[in-house]
Amino acid sequence: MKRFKKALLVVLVFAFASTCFLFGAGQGTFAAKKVTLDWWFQDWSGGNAWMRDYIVKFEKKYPGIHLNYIPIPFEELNVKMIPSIAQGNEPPIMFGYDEWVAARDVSKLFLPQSPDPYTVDEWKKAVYAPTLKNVTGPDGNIYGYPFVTGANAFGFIYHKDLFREAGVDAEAIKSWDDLKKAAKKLTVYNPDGSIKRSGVLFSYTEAANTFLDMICMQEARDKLLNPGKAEWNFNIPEAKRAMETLKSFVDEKIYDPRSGDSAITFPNKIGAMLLQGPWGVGATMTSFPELNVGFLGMPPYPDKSTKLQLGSVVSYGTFFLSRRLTDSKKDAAMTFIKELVNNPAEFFDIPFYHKPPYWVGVINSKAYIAELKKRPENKMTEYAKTALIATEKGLPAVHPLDTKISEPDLIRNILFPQMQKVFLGKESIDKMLSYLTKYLTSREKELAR
Amino acid sequence: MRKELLIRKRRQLNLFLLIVASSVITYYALIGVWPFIYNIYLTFRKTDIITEDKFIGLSNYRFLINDPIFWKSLWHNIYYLMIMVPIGAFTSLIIAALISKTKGIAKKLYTAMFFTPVVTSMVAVSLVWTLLYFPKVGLFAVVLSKLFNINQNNLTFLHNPSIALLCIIIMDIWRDTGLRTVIFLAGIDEIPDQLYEAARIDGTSAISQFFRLTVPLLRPQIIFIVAIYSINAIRVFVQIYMMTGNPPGGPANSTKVLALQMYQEAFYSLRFGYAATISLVMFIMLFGLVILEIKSFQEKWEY
Repeated sequence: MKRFKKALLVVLVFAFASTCFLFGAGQGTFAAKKVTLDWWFQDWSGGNAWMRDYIVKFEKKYPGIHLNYIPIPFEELNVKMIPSIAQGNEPPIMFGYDEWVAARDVSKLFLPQSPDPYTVDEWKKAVYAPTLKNVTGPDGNIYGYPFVTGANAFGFIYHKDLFREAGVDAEAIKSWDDLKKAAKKLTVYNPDGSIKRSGVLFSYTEAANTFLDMICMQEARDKLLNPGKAEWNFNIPEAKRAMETLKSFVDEKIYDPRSGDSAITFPNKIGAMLLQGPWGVGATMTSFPELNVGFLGMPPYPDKSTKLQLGSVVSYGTFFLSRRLTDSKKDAAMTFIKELVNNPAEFFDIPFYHKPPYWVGVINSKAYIAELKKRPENKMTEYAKTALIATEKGLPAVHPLDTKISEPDLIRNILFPQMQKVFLGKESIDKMLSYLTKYLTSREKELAR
Repeated sequence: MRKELLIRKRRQLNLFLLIVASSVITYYALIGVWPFIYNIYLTFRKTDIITEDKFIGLSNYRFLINDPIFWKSLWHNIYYLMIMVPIGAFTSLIIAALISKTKGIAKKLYTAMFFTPVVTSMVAVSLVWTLLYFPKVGLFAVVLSKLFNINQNNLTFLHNPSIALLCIIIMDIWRDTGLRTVIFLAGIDEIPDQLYEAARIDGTSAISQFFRLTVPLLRPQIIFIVAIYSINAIRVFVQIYMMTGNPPGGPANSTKVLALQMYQEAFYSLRFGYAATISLVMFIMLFGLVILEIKSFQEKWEY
């Protein structure tokens, strides 16, 4: 009998422990019920610091919600998101770029964010309308919150000290001729005449974006792509002129295309300025706090009189929610989105008011921009001002090309490798333009089928 | 009674074998046969596996035939194979022959020394070599410019489309030298000493012994290494992905290979149908190499 009692006690203890383990006693049943939301975000130093700082604020305000932040490198995040949705193991909150889902039915991928927490009209009041294009489903609902503008070619980040040493005033650069003159002044040569430090560096996504932007700035947008017929045409003088302008930086020994990956060469001052969006300021200064980096806007092309048209291919950093969310997890995820939209300053102020800034870029929240505009001068940092200028000048000029080819494909896989061939003297501009016309048309037609 | 017992035992054994075999067959069918059939099915479809899936007949094959990037990638795989396999096999053979002349601790030390990179992760090796190859100011650029009086500014390695792939092949040859050397060493150890003794008595030089005795008698190992590394050359991915950076396969697509193109088409462009078509081409090439390998091993070898 004694033995039986002992065995019964052991069984009872085991059963109790198992129940606690299965139902998560530590977090749920016995403690206050807490909802945990896994959150994938792009792994870059500035972004990590920014999001982690925000999580502290958010969890203090909503103690019932725990945001489990999972940073994933850009390339992996890009290739992981849609396959994980297909497999059914995506996290509740996902960060991604809207361009990754361009021309796809987003209603089959994500949870709708309209009419709850906001109607479509409310979304249009909250964020700049063009940013909603790729996250709008065929049913007219919104399936993501595009809160910032990601990779773009709005201008150049530059080393302030190198500009000072060379006697170049960034604010005086108003045209491409000014830019070239300044870059030439900033270039340092070896005794044999080869480039030791490039005056300007081209990063791969932005160089390809700029090429398209330059064509569009010459008002040749309709000649470049005919979405109705799914036809590209680079065999136009505007495309040739744009490529010649970029190539002239190589020919005039201002940019050395063999100087290495700009993500390494720019912070190591192998280049004085880098064609990159304002986000590069925060990214560089978070990873290399010893550097002092500024941002100058991209001059109009070919001259000041031409209508400014930027953003032929633009990516908006977006928060998507898993369509599998139900009950308390769904409510918690919606709370997360609502909080970002309702109190934008609590979120967007974090990077601009940190020393060094975590991130500087184009903000898609109309409410935050309105708030920044009202903010007294003495409460604005240099980086908040840069973001305000970049947003006000950049966003209205965004006019994406109506292509079905996604940004990673168009920019990374197709355009930039061809541009590299020209920069490296492996192919003529005419041959490159003919190739692009033929190849992109075949791709566009394939996608339109 | 005894016969019945035997029959029952045999039945039990058969049942056991059937269960064991069926689990293996099921496993193989699930991870080998089914994906292969599904892959062929995908080649006839335009799909991103979630929002779109439709039959497009032979369009993916037509696109493949007219895709210059595919042909370029295919050529890069063949180039990789043509350079890496013979040079890798030859250098390892020489090193194995030299190590075989040593004895005791020295032999173990040399073997371990050459084998160390083999057990190092390809990702780590690739990252280190990317820094070594850094244009103009990297270690290789500095050392080579000093040694051979070359202009350091012209040494751009992975950023020069003419030699970028060659630079990766050199790294790959270096990394696996140890493994090939160990295989050759095992082969050399199996060659009877009497043969070398007889050759020495006949007055054959060391070099002549190597080419007329060692090399022919190492034919099975050479065939094995050529076959395995040819397969590796067709499947090559990690080192190119890691070393060529933004965007992988550059500069100017000069290092793009089939596995990388397949990956990019599937996961960057979400063209799973087209990626499946590329993977089928890779399968056909690999299948051909495996058949060659099997045929070579069917030959009997005797000393």
